[in-house]
Amino acid sequence: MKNIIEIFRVFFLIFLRDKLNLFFSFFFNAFLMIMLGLFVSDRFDEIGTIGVYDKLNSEFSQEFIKTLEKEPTIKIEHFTNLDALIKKIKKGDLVAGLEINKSFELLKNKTAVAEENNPHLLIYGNSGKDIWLKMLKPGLKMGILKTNENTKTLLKNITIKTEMIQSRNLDYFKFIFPGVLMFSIMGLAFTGALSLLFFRKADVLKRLKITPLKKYEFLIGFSLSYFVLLLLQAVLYILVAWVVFDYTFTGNYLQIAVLIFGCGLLFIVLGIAIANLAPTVDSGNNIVRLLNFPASFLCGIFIPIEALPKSLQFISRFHPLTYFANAMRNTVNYSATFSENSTNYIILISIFIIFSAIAVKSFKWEEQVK
Amino acid sequence: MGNHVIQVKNLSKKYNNVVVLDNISFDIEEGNIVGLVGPNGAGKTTLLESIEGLRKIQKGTITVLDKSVETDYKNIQKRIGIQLQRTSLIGDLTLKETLRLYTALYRVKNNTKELLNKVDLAEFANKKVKHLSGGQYQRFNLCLAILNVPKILFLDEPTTGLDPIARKKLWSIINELKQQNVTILITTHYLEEAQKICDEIIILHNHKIIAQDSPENLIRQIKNEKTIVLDGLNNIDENEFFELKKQFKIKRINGQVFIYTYDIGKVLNILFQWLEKKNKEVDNISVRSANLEDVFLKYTTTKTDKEITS
Repeated sequence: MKNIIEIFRVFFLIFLRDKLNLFFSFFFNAFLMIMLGLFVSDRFDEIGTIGVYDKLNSEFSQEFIKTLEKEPTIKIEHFTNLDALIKKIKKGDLVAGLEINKSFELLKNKTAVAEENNPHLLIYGNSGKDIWLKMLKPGLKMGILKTNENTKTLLKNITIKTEMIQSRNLDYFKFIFPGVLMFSIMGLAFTGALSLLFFRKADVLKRLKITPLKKYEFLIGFSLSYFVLLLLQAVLYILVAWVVFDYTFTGNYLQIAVLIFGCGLLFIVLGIAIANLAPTVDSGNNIVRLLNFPASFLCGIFIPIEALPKSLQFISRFHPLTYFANAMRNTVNYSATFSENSTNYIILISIFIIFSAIAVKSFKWEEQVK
Repeated sequence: MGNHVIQVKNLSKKYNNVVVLDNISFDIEEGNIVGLVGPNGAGKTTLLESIEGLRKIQKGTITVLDKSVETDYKNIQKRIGIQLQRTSLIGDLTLKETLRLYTALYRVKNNTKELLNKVDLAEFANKKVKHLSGGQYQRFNLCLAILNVPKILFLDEPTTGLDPIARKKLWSIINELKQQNVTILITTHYLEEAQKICDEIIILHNHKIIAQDSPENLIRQIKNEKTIVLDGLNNIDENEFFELKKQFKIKRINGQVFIYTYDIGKVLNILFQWLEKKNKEVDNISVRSANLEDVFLKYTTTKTDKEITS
């Protein structure tokens, strides 16, 4: 046990001392996640939800809302206060919000419009879904006209003001977060694999071999160091998601923990197997790159697998990350149970058993044992 | 006759059908320092690593501290110290941290300061390993090799690549270990130093042991022979060298020409005449008694180096 703790301590320490490694493994993906969450619009929505706060609550405004509800491309959500509407836009749940105020009533009375100091209608736009705003302005006018054709001349005298609300695009973020979490865990586990290759090449492992350290003690200690590191990474990402995007998991916490632990373990084991089987550091690097880079678009991390061509969808089935990302997304966003994720679990456990056996069996202290 | 702590019997090994060790047998007595010397590729490291338990034994037996390396390696491992020829420590750890790691792995209790003091590195305890100089690095490697207070110490070319001062320092540490009755098996290319410190020399050539004795006895074998060393005779071509080869027992190594003879006067006379005739100059001519280097050259160059006449 003492040997395991020492090996764990040493490799944990080495990782933390490598600033570049620390940055790319811990912070780069977190940064990417924030950037994507903040600035990438969800332009794929076919139906946008518009929040309506009917401050006026008149016969005319009610009729207008009914007209809007008939529109096939939008869905209306009613609000009784403006704060709630704005909060929902901020969360990214609404593509825009509409406040129906006193100016709306003026549309029925020419004199009143002329006398009003600043007659206007107010639309709150979602900064991440600004494409909807471009459609909403003319759509609003059309809706008013459909409600009452007599407003045609009056409408010119009323300005439509827009106020942009900085949103968190939670819809897209909700989609990417579980995948990015799993993707980052995989990346860190593979970093461990490459370091193992490097230490073997540099004969660091050979120096350990001549001590009474046993193979299993080394493997457990080494894996544990990266396991703790990737748990810390997962905690950091969850904190970032919570602080920046107000994101919280909705699924079963036990299942989420199992998925994070499982993903870490599987990729550490897979990484060790690669490090053992790769004949050189370069070839190991290439195998890891082959698994790492395509995973971002193949395994449903940033793009839904369903959006990929059929051939790529087929290839994605061969990458374990696909099953982790699926299971995690199902769990955190749709509260899937263990049994609902069972197919993913069966595949992942099978992969884990196979690669654990390979990792232990093929482990070597030296590049070439003669 | 003392207690034999290492016994190698009929050890043979092949890599891809190429013989690397050919029927090697020898014993090493407790407390002795034994130098394993031989040209590059003779099989020194393979032999050493086989005894250390790092290489598979294909044929023959090796016993260390009365235990078989093949079957009882884990027990042997705790009682031996090894400094590998090509090894690397974790550069980002400090000396203190590295010692803590290896002390824990050997399950021994050690005072870090005392250990580092032994190799004159106490002041660098908090320095990272990657910032050590070559000599300091080798001394630290030696420090790791002795932290479990080994009965036998294996040192594979510990002084290679070091400057003379660093080398001297390392040899003095090895000498101190000798005083503590540690058995040491060392491979080295520095024969002058090996001659001073080793109780016994094993010469390995073409994967076989071709000589094994104390340095004194080995030298005694060629004791009446003198060596004439010519420095700076670089401007002779192959034909001219061949002319000399026909007349003398001669070798040319790294710009120096060595002539071995029992009759110095006769050889010098012929040599001076030849130099005058060919209008050649030398920077320096010296005559010395045979040493371990001559023994080594005698045994290892006769069969393979066509430049050398025996």
